[in-house]
Amino acid sequence: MELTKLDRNQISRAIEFNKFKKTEKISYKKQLEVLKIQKKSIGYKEFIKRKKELKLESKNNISLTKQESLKILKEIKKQGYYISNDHSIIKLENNLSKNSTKKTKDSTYTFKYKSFYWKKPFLWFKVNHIIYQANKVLKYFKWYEQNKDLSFDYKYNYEIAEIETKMTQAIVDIYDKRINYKPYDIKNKNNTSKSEIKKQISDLVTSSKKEHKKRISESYSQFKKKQINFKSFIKQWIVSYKFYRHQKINAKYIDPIYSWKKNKKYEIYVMKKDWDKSISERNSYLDKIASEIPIVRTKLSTYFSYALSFIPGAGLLYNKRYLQAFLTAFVFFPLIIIIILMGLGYISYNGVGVSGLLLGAKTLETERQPSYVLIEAVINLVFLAIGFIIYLIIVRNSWLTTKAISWGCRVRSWNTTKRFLSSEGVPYLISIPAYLLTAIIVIVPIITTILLSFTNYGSGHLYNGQTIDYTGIDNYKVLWGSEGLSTTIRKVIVWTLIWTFFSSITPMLIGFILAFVANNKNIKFKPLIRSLYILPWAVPAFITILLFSSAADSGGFISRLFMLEENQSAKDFSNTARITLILIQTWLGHSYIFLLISGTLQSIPKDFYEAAKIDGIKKSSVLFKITLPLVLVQVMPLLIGQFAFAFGNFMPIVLVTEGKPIFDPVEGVGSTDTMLSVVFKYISQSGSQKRIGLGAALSTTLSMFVIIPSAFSFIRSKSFKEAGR
Amino acid sequence: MKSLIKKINKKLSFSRTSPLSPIISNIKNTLKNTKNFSYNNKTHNINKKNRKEITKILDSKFYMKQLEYFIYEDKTAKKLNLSEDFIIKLVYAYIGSVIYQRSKNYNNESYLYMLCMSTNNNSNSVADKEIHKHISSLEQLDKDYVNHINDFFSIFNLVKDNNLNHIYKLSWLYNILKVQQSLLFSKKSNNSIINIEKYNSWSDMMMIIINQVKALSYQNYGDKDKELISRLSDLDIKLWLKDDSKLTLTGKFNLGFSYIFLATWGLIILYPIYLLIKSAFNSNAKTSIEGFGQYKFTTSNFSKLFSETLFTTWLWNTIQVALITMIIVVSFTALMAYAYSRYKFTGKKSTLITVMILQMFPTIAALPVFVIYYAILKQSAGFSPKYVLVLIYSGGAIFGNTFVIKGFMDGISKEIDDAARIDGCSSLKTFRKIILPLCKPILAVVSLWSFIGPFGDYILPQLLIQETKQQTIAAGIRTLIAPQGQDTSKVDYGTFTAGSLLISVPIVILFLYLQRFIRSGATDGGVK
Repeated sequence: MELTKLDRNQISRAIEFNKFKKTEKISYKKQLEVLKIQKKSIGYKEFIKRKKELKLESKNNISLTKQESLKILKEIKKQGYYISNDHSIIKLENNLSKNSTKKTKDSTYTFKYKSFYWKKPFLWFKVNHIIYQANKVLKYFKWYEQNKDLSFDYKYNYEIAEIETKMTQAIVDIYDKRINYKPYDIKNKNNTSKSEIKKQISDLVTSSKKEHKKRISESYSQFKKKQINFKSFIKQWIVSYKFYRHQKINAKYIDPIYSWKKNKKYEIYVMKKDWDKSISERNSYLDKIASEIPIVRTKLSTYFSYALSFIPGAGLLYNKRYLQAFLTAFVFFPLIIIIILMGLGYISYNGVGVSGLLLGAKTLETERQPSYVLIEAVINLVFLAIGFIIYLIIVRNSWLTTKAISWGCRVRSWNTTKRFLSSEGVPYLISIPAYLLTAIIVIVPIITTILLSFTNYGSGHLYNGQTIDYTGIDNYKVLWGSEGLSTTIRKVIVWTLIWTFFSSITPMLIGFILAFVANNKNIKFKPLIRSLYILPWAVPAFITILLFSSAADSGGFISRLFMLEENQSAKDFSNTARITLILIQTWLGHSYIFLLISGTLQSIPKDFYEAAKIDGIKKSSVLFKITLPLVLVQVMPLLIGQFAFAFGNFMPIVLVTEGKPIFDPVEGVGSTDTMLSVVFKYISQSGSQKRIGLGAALSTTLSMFVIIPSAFSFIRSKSFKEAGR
Repeated sequence: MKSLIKKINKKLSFSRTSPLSPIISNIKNTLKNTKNFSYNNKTHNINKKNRKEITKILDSKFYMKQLEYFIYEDKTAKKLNLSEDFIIKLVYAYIGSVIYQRSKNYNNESYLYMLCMSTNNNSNSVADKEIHKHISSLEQLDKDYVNHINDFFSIFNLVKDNNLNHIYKLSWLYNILKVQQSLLFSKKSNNSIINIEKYNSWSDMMMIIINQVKALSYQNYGDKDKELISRLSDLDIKLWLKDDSKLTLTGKFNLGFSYIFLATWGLIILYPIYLLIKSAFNSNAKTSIEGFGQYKFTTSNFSKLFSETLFTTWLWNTIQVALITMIIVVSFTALMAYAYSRYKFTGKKSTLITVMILQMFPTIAALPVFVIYYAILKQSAGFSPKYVLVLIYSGGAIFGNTFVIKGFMDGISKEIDDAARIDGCSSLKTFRKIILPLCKPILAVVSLWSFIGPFGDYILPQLLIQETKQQTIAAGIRTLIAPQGQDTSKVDYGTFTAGSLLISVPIVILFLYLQRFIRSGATDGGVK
């Protein structure tokens, strides 16, 4: 090592400075951490003071030697020397110094590219890709070998090249083997004719069949003489049949072509497995090297790639993630553009894009019904949200890659994404279709109904040439104001509350009692009882409801139950109609409760009861202090769910009474109408009664009643708390 | 154990006339003739009640077989050559001890009568003294019993051979104790600790006696007289092996009452179903389910259903819808549940809560939107209404069922997953090969629900579909009893019930077949 114009002392000082710069930073950080721990005891002001002192100190320490040593470093670099990562000075050879050198090709190490093989294009592509990657590094193998201490990139390339020399040859060999695989020529060696072989096979099969029949007849005769029982006879039959079948399969191997085919299949399979194995081995080696050697990048270029990451594909391209960049640029980005075009109304069936949310005159722009415009607008809105999420994911992906590179991670991109997709990315992949379906079926209708509740959608605003307009909170005023509908609505609310309470409480009580009685230890025929009590649940509900509806007509058994005359039916009077509805719901609903509670009763461990018996506790207190609390704790949320179900259950009302007897002939609302059946009426009726906007307003307010308590109970529930884990 | 008891009972009931029967009839006769008797210088009367008590024990096979063995079969008894007088007295003594145990009353007249008939005043032999020694060692345990057994022991002074007498006496004592023990356990007491204490005290007494017998028989005969000991330690009693006590009278009454209650409720459940079946085969059921006029058996309702209505096309439509929804729902929900139960990912909790809460929105509110969906899909892509129904059903069912299956999957331990991963399964392979087979019961339930849903839904198809050919079964069948235009002449409950019977029978069979799964699905899955 020779350096002109410079003293040895100066050089050593320069090297020390280079070391010191790093060590000083580390020591500063360590002292800061110690300070942070002391922060509470010292106090905030004191902490800031000391921090400033520390900073100054470290700055001074560096600046003492800074100006002088920087000069020396520049001089060293000018003369063609280089300070390596180990803080030692290395002389660069003249032809290799950074500005003037060129990489010299070393052609002995390169592989030849394979010519196109049309039978397996994918395999051909893959092997050529591997050869390309190997050649890229191996071209300058010696150059990298000489300069591996100069930078991380050279070292990385050198190590990869070392691996490629070992691995690529094996892969190429297997490829050649696969391509050139020819099983030995069977036709020349095969002297016997086809007909002879066929004869041989059929002979063997027939002889084995004869043997099989003989065995069966022998064992049957034994069975007839009662030397063996039926079971062993069948066993012998099966054994001989299996033997026969085995021989039948083996007979095929007499045919040399058949066995040759089978052998070929096996050999090809083995080669395929070898290929997979060698490729995965190579990948794992390359991954290991990539994880060991860091990457260096200037600050400016990292900022640049951060900025580029907002353009889909560009950031990834800059970071040399070509496949990902290709995917984002040509698959996801066009998808986003299509979604935006849909949102603007350029691609649509009969809507005007998201601007359809404005309603009014916008609904006249198409030739179809005005409601289409609104719903397409909502669908477009949801799609826009999905597109925005896709865009965010793309940006996040390239942002994270630049971040990783700035930290020095050298990650082989495609392999890591593949690994991500097969491990942590699985839940996302799995649940995407389900999310899409629920978005369209659940979320879009909810948004539209909430929007519709502020409009006048209904009769007069249905068909072509008519408009839907926003009317503010008019619908809510009609429902909850002091005039008109509100009085009938109040009556309906009272009946709805009664209906929800009784149609859930009575089946619960009966189910409870039945479960406790039927689960007594001494009662026999339990399976029979259970399968009998499951029947009301098993028979489709609409059938039984229609049955009871007919029974509630004049002369039916429900009408007779109320001691009515022959001409009268239970549906004619409000009280009897209401009671019949509750009875029907009791009949329908109790078997679910019965099943639920008998299931939980069986799951209570018997140890509790034995302990109670040893302590000499009364039977009644066993029931009230052990069984009931244990059952209720398990079943309570489901029972609360029953109330919500009863609130939303309007099928019996629609099918049995249709809301009759009617007390408000103007609105067509009867005394057995619950809120939901009223909504159903507004939606499904034809003519001037059809007021979907009003129905939507009613249902949105109703859903508040249902959602808020059940959401609370759901959030409190054990299984939801466990879901986050 | 039960079979063993049966065997023992069979051994005991050898079919021959008992040699005891003349003696017992003799005792009965004397009992009939006596109205008064004197004991300890006092005269006592015998009631009807007392007579009944005594004859009941005399008639019972259980006690008499015990006696029979110890008087006629026992080796020592054979050697002793017992006289008839002695045997009669033994019977008296034995029955007296039983009565005492039952009533536990010294002043019970039937007990006193037995004592009077059995006792002998000459009691001063050497062997007798020895026996009293043994008994006095028992005295610490329970004085009452020992005293009353003492009373009976005076009979044995009639026998002259001392050694034999001694063994025989002890074996009798043991036998009596055994009978009393069995009596003790036939009485119910809820408190099992007291039961155990009593049992221990009894068995202590019996152990002392049996050891004495063993020692004496060894002294006299060497190893030969083993039969006596084995016979003594045998249990001839019907054991009550259940942990619970036997039913009391009120318990039996309650049991009967609960049977009646269950049966009546079963009738309430069965009555409408009976009506359904009856009217399906009734030619007179036109305007009402119960049918006016006489019942006439026909199968014409079924033939009419297939020939005049579109029943088969409705059924085929519904089966298509149900099958496709089932496949979509089960596959999607199983995958989703796997993701939610086995992985941590961002937005796990938030997506769950938003979708679960949004699903509580009443579906009826979304009906107009679904109508428009159908119109758009039909006019733009040529969708038939079936597939719109499939979309709606499956989209609505996914998240609720996901939660149910997730609840079940959480119960499967994650160590199985780890083991599979170590063996080289990828995450989807573990799902396919390990989690899915373990989740079969809950998957059966979910597939059942999603399959049956389209069969029972009436409102959505009725609102969406105008053409009767495209209708599903629920809405289609309704047109038979509520035809368009309220044409009352077309109402036919017979064909309606026939059709609904045809639908409900396979569904009910499915339910009964999958009953176990349904019960576990109702309790294990779901929000808790």
